[in-house]
Amino acid sequence: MTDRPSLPGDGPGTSAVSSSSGADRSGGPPAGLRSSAGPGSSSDHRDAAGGSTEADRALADAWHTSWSRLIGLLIGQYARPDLAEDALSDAFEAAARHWPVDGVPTNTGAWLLTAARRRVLDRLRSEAVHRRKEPLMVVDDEMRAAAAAVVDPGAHVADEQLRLIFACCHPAIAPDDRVALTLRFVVGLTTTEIARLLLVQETTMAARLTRAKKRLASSGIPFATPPAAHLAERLDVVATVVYLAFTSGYHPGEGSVVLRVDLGDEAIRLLRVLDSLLPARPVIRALLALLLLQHSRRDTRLAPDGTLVLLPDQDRSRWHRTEIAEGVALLGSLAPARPLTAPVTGHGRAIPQAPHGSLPAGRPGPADPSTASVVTRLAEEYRLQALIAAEHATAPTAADTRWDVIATRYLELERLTGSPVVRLARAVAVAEVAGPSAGLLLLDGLEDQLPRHHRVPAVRAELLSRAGDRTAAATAYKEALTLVTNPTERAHLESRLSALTQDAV
Amino acid sequence: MLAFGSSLPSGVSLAPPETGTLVVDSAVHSSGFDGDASALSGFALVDAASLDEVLDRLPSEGTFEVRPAEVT
Repeated sequence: MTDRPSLPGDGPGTSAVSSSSGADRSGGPPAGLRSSAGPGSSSDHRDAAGGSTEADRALADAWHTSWSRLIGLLIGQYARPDLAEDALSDAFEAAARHWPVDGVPTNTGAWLLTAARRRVLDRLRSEAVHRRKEPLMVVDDEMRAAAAAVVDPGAHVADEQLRLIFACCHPAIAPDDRVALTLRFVVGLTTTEIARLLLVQETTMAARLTRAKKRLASSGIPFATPPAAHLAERLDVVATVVYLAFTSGYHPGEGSVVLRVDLGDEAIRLLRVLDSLLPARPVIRALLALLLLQHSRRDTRLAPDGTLVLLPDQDRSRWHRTEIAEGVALLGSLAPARPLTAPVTGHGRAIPQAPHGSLPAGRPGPADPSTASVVTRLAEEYRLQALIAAEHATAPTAADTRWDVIATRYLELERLTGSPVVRLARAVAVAEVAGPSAGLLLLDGLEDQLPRHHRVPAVRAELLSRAGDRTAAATAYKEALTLVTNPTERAHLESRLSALTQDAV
Repeated sequence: MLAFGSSLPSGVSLAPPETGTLVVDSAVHSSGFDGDASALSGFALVDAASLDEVLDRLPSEGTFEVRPAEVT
């Protein structure tokens, strides 16, 4: 039996699909914003106009604080994601033209909202002339009325921002498209930027976004925060999207691409927004802790010449200590899903962990603890990963790393996920604790489970070389080189292999 | 409402296939089902405010395609 529901209540547009007017637009904030990317990226004519730096700064600020709120408000009012996106891009472009000349308005958000609404109305009028029918998003009447009444987006409770995030991360949208939509609608990146970040052709990304936007508008996806019964599972989907966005910002070897945003910063900012709108959700806090701890090492991952710097060789004095401290503190507020089996060591720098069942401390508590404290498997996975990252981040030197604790965490993580990738990481940790042969034992069978993964032979090679078996190590390095695609990692493997053969002579 | 072939009840028009959401044993997928390869065994019109409301009402087992429709 096949269910084919009708979705009334949104006028005649619900089932109509016509070509989207926003199809070929990359949209996004205007060139003026890109000056926040760093040196030399834009704003030539505006410099001559004078006062451009203030206008540029105000634009960048407005983009950071208001983009997703404004998009949310516009969708809330007009139920048209495509028009909301185009109109807001136009409003930012208009701001880039007017602000340097006329001065920055007192309330930039209100200015942009008014300008964007005017554009939407223009478009709706011209559509009425051409009798075009566009799909509508499912927005309830109450939301529509509330959004229409907003004058100052800054003073407004950011409910529509949350709705926007949940809509972009709806399970009925393909996982890759969720990431792209979130970067476009919630973060406000252009198609070009998203294409670069996700390593796809710009034309491909434009086509994918067009399709995804159409789906967002026409499949009956509600512009709504999920009911309590579904909130935990839907928040897991959101967290996964944020995590994917974060990791896609880390492509060693792609360093030559200059972007105005750091995706790591944006992912963390998004989690902070989520944490403020939905306080004390374990999956959000655990992921925030994990990303802060990983991102704290961002300045030391690549050498000036672009080569990969491995964790033991990174300059720990350049790690961001405040972020590490915040990540560790967040972990302290998260209760473990089950009793811990970590060994007690005498290092005296234990990562704080809340006792089982305790209430989160240090941050505003949840309104309803019974639903807010749902610890999903994903939340526990992120928490364990964050604990591992915290061990690395708090070790005074590489030699001080508590590999025994890390190996235990990986064991817990492997039990939880059954993931061969986790086993690979555990093999490395176990080798540090109990020697290369103990690590090698754990690698058995992994090549079959991860057949195209260069890291399996790479780790095997490293452990074999430590165990003194140079011939086998060289063979494994060569195998890894046939699988590796990333140029930075390839260079690293090649140097390991040549060091090995030179030593052997 | 079974076995009405390719025609829909009068007054109902379905949104295009790309708006469809496939649900297999409660798991939500992003695309509609393969109309050529799958046999249609039935059709039901559900009055619901959104896709989520329909998903909540579907049986936990079975394969369903959910599509917006317009009733005139």
